[in-house]
Amino acid sequence: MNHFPFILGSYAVFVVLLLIDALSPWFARRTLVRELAQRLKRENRRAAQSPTDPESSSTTSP
Amino acid sequence: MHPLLLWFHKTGSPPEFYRLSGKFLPWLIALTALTGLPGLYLGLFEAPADYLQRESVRIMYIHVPSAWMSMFIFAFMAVVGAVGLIWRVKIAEVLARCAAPIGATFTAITLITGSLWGKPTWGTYWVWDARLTSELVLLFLYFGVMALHNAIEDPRRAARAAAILALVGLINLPVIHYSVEWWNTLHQGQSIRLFASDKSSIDPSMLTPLILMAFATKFWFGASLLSRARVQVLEQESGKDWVRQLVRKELGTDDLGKTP
Repeated sequence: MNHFPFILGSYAVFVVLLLIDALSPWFARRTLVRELAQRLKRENRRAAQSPTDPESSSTTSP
Repeated sequence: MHPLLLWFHKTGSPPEFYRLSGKFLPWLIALTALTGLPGLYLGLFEAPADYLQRESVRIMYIHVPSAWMSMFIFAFMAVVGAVGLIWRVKIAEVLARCAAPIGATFTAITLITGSLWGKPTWGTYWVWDARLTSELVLLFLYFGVMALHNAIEDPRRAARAAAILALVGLINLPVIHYSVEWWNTLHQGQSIRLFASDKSSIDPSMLTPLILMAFATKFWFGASLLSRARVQVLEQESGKDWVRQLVRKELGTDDLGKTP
């Protein structure tokens, strides 16, 4: 029996699954930072529109 | 307060953890590359073929370290889960949560590569052997822990439930380890004995890539765990000032529509 396809398949599975493992936190972080930046932008806009409104300077998430 | 306890609490604070983990992460990545690349090269091209398994023995250099990691990560997850459960250390809960998908990945690699090794060696992809079945149970335990984390909205409650499952699941680790001795299994017995090297039945030319890969997977776990935990910490602390400052610094204040 030719063992080559089994060896290749095993190493491919190893590399692909570890690549997914490595990339998933990277993508999650990028998405999170983007969301946080948008939230900050919204808050800054609100603060600029009504600087005296106490609600606009709240630090809690929407 | 005892200096060690003080250090523990200081390191366990999210901003300090985020700062420290950022320093460790590049080193762990470098160590993974330094051990993993030579390990892969030696395993694939330099190590001799086995007299019985022939070329398919090369699968062992990824299968065995992955199997070790699948059990090591579960034990780690249970220990940090217990720390979170007993002392309510937030970072311990985060680490336990982040360890689960990495452990599940290594368990999946173990099962798939073992199956691909089994076909040319045993003539079948799968048998309901004690070692294989207990490893499959481990994968389901990882899925259970991950499902609990995602199903319960409150992260503290989710962490407590998942920690209990991980602690109960610990019973599976000795079952996996000793299954080849307790039952008459198709899976081969231990070839490496770390604390009695003279009893190891593996040639040094095969042991070197295996050890290198064992270290590489450990460093990989460290790096993956820290990068996942950093994201989790940012998410949980997203309302805090230090996270806002970090985001501002990362994107630049102009991008946020505000000048300094």
